[in-house]
Amino acid sequence: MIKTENLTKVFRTEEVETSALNEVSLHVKKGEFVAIMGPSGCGKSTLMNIIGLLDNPTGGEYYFDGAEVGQLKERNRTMLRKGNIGFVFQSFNLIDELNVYENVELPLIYLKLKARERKEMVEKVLERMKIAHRAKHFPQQLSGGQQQRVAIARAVVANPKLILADEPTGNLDSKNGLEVMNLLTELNREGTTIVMVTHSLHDSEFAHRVVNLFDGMIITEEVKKEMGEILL
Amino acid sequence: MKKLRTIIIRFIKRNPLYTSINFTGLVIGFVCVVFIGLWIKNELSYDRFHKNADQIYRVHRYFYDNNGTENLHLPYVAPPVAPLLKDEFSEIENIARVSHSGMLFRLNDQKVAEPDVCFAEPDILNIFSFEGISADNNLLNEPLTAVVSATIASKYFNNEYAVGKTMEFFDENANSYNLKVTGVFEDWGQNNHFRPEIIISFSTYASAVGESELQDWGSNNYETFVLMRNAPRQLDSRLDEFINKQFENGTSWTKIRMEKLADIHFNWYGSRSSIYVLLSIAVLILLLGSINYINLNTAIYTKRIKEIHIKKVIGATAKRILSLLMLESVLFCIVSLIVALLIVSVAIPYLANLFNSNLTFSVGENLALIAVFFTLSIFIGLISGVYPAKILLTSKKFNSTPGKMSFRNGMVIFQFFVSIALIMSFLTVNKQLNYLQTKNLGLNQENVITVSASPNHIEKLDVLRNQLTKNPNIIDVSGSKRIPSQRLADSNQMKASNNGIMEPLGFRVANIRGDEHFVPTYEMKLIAGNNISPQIKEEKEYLVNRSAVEKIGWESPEAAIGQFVEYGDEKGRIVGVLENFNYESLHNAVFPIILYKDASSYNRISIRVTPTNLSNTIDFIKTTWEEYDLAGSPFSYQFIDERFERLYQSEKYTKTIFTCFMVLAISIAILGLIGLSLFVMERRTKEIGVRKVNGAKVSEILSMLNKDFVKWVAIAFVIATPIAWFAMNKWLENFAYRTNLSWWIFALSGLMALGIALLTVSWQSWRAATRNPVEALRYE
Ligand SMILES: Nc1ncnc2c1ncn2[C@@H]1O[C@H](COP(=O)(O)OP(=O)(O)OP(=O)(O)O)[C@@H](O)[C@H]1O
Ligand SMILES: [Mg+2]
Repeated sequence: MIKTENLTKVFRTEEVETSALNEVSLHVKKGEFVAIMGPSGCGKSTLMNIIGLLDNPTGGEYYFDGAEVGQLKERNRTMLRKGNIGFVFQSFNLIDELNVYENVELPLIYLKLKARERKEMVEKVLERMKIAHRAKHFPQQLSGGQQQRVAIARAVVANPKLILADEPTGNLDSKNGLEVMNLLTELNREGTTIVMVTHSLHDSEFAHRVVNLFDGMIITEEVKKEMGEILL
Repeated sequence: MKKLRTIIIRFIKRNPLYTSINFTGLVIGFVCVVFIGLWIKNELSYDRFHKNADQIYRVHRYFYDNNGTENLHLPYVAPPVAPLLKDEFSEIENIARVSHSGMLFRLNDQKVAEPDVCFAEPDILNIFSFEGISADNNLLNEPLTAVVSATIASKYFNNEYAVGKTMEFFDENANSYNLKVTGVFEDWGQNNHFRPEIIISFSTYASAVGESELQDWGSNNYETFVLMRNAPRQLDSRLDEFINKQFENGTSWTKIRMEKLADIHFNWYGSRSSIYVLLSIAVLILLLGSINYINLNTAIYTKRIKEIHIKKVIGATAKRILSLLMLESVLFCIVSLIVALLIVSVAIPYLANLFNSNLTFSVGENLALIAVFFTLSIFIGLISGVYPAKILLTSKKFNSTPGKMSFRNGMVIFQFFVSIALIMSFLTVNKQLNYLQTKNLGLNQENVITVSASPNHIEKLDVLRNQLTKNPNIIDVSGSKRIPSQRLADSNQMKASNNGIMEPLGFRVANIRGDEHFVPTYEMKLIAGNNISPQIKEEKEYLVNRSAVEKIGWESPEAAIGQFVEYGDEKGRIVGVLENFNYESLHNAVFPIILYKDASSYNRISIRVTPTNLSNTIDFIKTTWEEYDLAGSPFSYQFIDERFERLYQSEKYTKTIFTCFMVLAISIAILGLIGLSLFVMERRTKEIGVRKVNGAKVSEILSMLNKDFVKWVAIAFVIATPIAWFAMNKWLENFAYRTNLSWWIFALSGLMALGIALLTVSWQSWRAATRNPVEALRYE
């Protein structure tokens, strides 16, 4: 599903040059649940952004579903991202002016689906995330846990193959965090590939595999459990 | 004071871009207000120089057709009016007839034309304010005496004491006379419609023209001023009684009225409505500037909400914060005003030139006005400060986005409304001007030169013409009284026969007195019959225009030929009919006109030339003309087409005004839009990032961001169209000939506004839309 070869990313500003990723080679199989860990500033988010086709690497190759996508133009990255990749962020990133329903509907609008189809899909996913009764509420009227469930709903509404979650529990208490992890695990069981960044050892236990990043390099990888029978 | 400075510096540093946008907008607004304020003050100052300004009147004369419609209104009356009025009205303290005429004077060895010379009765000295003249009023009693302005005195007598000295002047036939200067008065200044430099005693004039002229009720050539401290209550009806005493049932065809001196400028030269228009434009532009200020400050303040909340928490009271914010805003406005005053004081000569005005700006003379400006700026500061401050203080949440966008949207819409309406007006004025300048007048005004003619020129006109037309570049030469582009003020009673009975016509038929070369020189079109013939015929020959034929009721132009008519007791026949032509400006419709020969009245010569070798041709005309000029007056010429152009001077200034204010309004709107779009983009950065992460393309983001602005322009367009349509229709009613308000004027205005808005906004939105969403979300 995801394969990177010697991925590097260098940020240049006027004064300094930061090497955020250094020859990162990572392989994520279809249906896998991978956790990425490491200290702050080691390049986790940078890696996620490249995997999520939000950014281009400076060097190396990136294969998504077998196709080289490392140097795609923004237009094409957007096309490929649409419907294939869902994002969950630490700070939820919901749009304040839109209500829950409209927030979740967003990816479907850009996929140019018909209103009726959208309605069906959004209602289904809201039901599933147990947030349907809040459909007309605005983000600021919701608790952190609820907001993150809306964000997950938005990430999965278009049935993407891949979900990228950057510290999804970072702003949540343990109870809400657990709920989010359970949701992600459930999605994974149904076949969605998940790559998640986390600082929490507890959360990493949910993953099949943990990748440890340090100063832009992968230093260790540990397999937590074998992948489920679904893939076999 | 130190605290204030730190406030201001902090304020500017915090938001240099917003601050400069605010500042520019307000300064532009204040520049307009200051300039227009000066303009209006100047307009209102006309003829106010005189101590008795409110008690001075000028006598006017009106003429009516049989059906009661007014056909002529003259600011002058006939010479018998003044003495009769004085007898009739005990309220009249002083009354003076004035006859204007330019004249040649000797200055050293040269003859100099003095344009502002008049003959006036002695009472003139009591009516107007003559400073520096002794109170004894016998200065204009004797023939060949004169009072002169200080300027003239120093011009002719080099600052020597002029009283008692003599000046030499020449009449049309080059006879010279000596004038004794009996008084010198201080100059009156520019803003007087009546601005004589040399006033010669009326008795000088009376003896020259003779008693019969002074009894002639048809010679409406005398500007007549009245001083009346207690005007009678029913002045108008008493004036009607007065006329009816002179003529039985006289008010059915003529009336006289008195016009206040202070109203003359507005009635004849300026216009009161232009004052209102300018005033409202100034207010609008200032409003646009303050709208930017309100809008952007609201934007800035929402960013400052956190800071203010912290201040609140640490104990600053809401009242204190409010007064601080208001102070900030008032100071800002005052500084803008000061900068605007500086700009105006530097730019006033250029501005005055642009608007063909004699405006000047000195602080000392305008203290009251400047005080008004400062009050206004404080007021603007307060109202512009209060809304943002209110938003700031009443918002509860730290990071609340401004919930009420509608008020600010409304203001942006208003800015666009003003801009669009001004564009529409500009395009209409432009179109009408083009129309006026290119409309076929029915006579060919191009390549005709006109020069003044002395009696000798007219007497020798045939010889002069022969001599001139020897030059291959001179096609034809005609003598006439009045030339196209002048008003056709002369008319006479006309009798014509329709159905065989000779009857006086119940309407005015104006006359052109010109020779047989007049029609060919101006290339006017004969639609029936022939031109008048060169020979003097027993029976007078008349040409009339199509309008006269129609109004008299003859069946066709052909039917008019040979008709027997009487014009001012001169019997004669119609020999030709001319297609209608516009002799006067296109403000006036075509009216009945009769053309005939009357050599003794000619005072102008029109010369049709070819456009090639013009300067040689003019030199040739000059030398030939000078040969026949006995008085030695300086040669001067004019092109008829340029004279026509000058008739639309006021429309040209209207256009300049609209152009200026349109550009200013649009600039302010653009500035405001830059600021607002910047703010909107900043506020929506996160949203844009989120949308892009969720699959939005750049084009989709762009259209989303621009959509609101397009909507505002559309709303503004919908409001502006009917208003501009109405206003421009009203304006066009000033013209007898007008262009139509085409749909494209409105479409183009809307498109221009839309284009401007989109370009301005896209500059910001493109940046926002193409930004990497990772960046946008990184700092959340
Ligand atoms: N747009 C950018 N410009 C310059 N430097 C950047 C940029 N984005 C990231 N970096 C730098 O790259 C390095 C990696 O950043 P990244 O955000 O990937 O770290 P992270 O592992 O996600 O940290 P955290 O756990 O705090 O989220 C950091 O040193 C960061 O300062
Ligand atoms: Mg990170």
